[in-house]
Amino acid sequence: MNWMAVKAVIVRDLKLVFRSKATLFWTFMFPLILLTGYVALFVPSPSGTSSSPVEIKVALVPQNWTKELVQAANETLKYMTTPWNTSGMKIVVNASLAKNLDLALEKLRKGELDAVILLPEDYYSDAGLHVKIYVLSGTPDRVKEEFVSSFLYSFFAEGAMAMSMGRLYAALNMTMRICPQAAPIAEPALTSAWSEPRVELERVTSGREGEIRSRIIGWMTLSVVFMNFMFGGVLGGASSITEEIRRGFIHRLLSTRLRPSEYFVGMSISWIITLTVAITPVLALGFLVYGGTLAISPFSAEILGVIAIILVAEVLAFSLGIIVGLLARSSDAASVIANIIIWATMMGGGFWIPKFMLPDFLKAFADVNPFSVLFYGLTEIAVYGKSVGAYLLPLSAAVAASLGLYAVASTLYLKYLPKLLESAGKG
Amino acid sequence: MPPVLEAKNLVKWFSGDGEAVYALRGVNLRVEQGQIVALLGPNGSGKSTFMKITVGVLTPTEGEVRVFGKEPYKDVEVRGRLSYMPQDAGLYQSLTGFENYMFYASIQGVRREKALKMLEELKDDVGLGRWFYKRRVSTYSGGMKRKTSLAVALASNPEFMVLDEPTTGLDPASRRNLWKILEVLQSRGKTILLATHLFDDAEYLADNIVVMYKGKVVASAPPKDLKRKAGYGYAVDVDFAEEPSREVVERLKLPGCRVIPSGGFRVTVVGNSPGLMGEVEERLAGVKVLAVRMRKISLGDVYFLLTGVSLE
Repeated sequence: MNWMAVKAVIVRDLKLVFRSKATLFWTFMFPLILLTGYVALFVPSPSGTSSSPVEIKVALVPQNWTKELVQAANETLKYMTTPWNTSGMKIVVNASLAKNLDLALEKLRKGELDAVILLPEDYYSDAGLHVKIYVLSGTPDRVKEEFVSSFLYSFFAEGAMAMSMGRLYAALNMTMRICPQAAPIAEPALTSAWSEPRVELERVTSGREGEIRSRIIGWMTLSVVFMNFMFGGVLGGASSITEEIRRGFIHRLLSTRLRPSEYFVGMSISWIITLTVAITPVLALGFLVYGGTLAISPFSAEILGVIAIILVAEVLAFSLGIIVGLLARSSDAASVIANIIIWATMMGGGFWIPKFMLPDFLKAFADVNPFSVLFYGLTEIAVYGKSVGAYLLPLSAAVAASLGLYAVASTLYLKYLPKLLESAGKG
Repeated sequence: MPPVLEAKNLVKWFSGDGEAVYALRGVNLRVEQGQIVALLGPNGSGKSTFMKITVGVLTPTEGEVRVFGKEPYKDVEVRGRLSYMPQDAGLYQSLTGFENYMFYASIQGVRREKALKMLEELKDDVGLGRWFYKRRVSTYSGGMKRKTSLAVALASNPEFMVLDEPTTGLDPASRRNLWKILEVLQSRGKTILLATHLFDDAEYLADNIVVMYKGKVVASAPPKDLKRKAGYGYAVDVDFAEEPSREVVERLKLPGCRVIPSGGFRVTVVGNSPGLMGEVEERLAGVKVLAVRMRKISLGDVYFLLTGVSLE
């Protein structure tokens, strides 16, 4: 092995990578943007921090525009639009009167309203409160649908209760005037009925304060790292092979003393360096800036296991890219095949969508996919603090599969290269 | 002294669409020490395939090629004594010329100090300026790329250089400049095999021209001998105002002469008589022509006579 030639290939590759604006963007910038987007979109806010108010758009439709019903509707509006602040959640009800129920329901169907409330003629009668609430459903935001239903139901239930209490209060007052002996029993009952209920709400998070949030960030950071391996290693590896042959560089290279095996080793090392350098800012952003959990000390023995898993995943991605590049007949075909592998692995392998959210057949796929095994082994050890020993068996199998694939990639490279040169040499 | 290159009954075919596509059909060729040999032929004549086998990138289907007595597609070490400059330069666009040079020197096993010393020696011969060290190849002109590619080919101080169409795409001044560089390299003892479809390149540079057509060597001789072998000494170019009719062309077929369509509205008559021009003019009486010129037979005429096709 001519190590001087191997070193030259490594240096050349690194220069080419770091001088290509497109590569710099996709390999270095894009993962940082992706992680930032993930954290901003999907990580829950830390408890105690203010969040945006929830807005509920409502139309109140009196069945008849009688003076009494309109007055009752306006009274309801006044209470309903008072700003609410329930256990830290701000609720803004944007309510207005509407004349026509059909038009209001049409607006509801179009999503312009969250609910329409019909106030019937007997809205408030001796029989109690009667109201009909139409709530928008079938939207992507099921949580808000449920929230609007619960909120409006509670609002009117509480309103009905308050009105009943008012009547009861008046009745008891009258009773006490007629029969003063009833006062010792009636007065405490009235005081108790009108006092504010004392329901205390205390949020209790599982584990240490903020641990869930930081664990999610840790999981997402490693998820972006593995996505980077997919795009950088599989797609990048496949493209580099086909492009080198298409553009004729390989002819000039192999007209020298350079042996294909030396070239392959040089390429492998440069890819591992590139992928490692590319994930370093992602790890720093996720664990140091966004506060992802790193359950193990950087100076512990386990960190060696974590580094080994990362290196093996890089080898696996690069090997897969090489195989795709060799077997595809053109750059376009290589790109299509690599993308199919990438998206299938990312979506079905449980590192784009968490494994627990996957259907059973995809969970089974994730259980045997070496990428997924390495990813879940890594997250369990690095983020959730599990011992390496607990994952030794699946990880060993994934490592063996990865190194086996590297052996296949190198064998195929040496075997197929002459054929590819022949194919490219026809012109 | 054994030849630098010797090809014996070289056959190469590629499989394509279920049938064999022949690129070389029994090529025999020798290149002696210190020679510049030009492979002359149109695209598809087999020049590039021959060169790729010569540098060890492709393997022959039948026959063999020996460079310094070794088969380059089997022996890696012999590749250290030769260098290959492909048609499309094979340079990395995001690297400077210097970085390309150092990379190729390294993979050829040349140590940095030796490569730098070599560069110092060749930079004036090749005409490498500040641009070579400072600018990336993507910013170079065609001439700069060829010079860089040539410098890269010289990085290992090869004894034998294989240059595939080195002047293609260059302006006339750059072409002449490259000719001078190759002459200097020859004077320094390099053996050069170059492929070209430009007659000027072959005529000016080559000690020996190998005419290739459809994968075969049609003729192989020094430029002067090649013209002599054609059997004609003179050529008369007739420029017509419009496409000449078949009857006019028939009239130009003088005894002992041949008529070559030279492209456009030009017809060339080749023959051996010093009075050929007069004879042609006589035959053209009453025909509207723009110009009639006499000259010595060219390599282009010879190429047509050997292959039946016009190259330029």
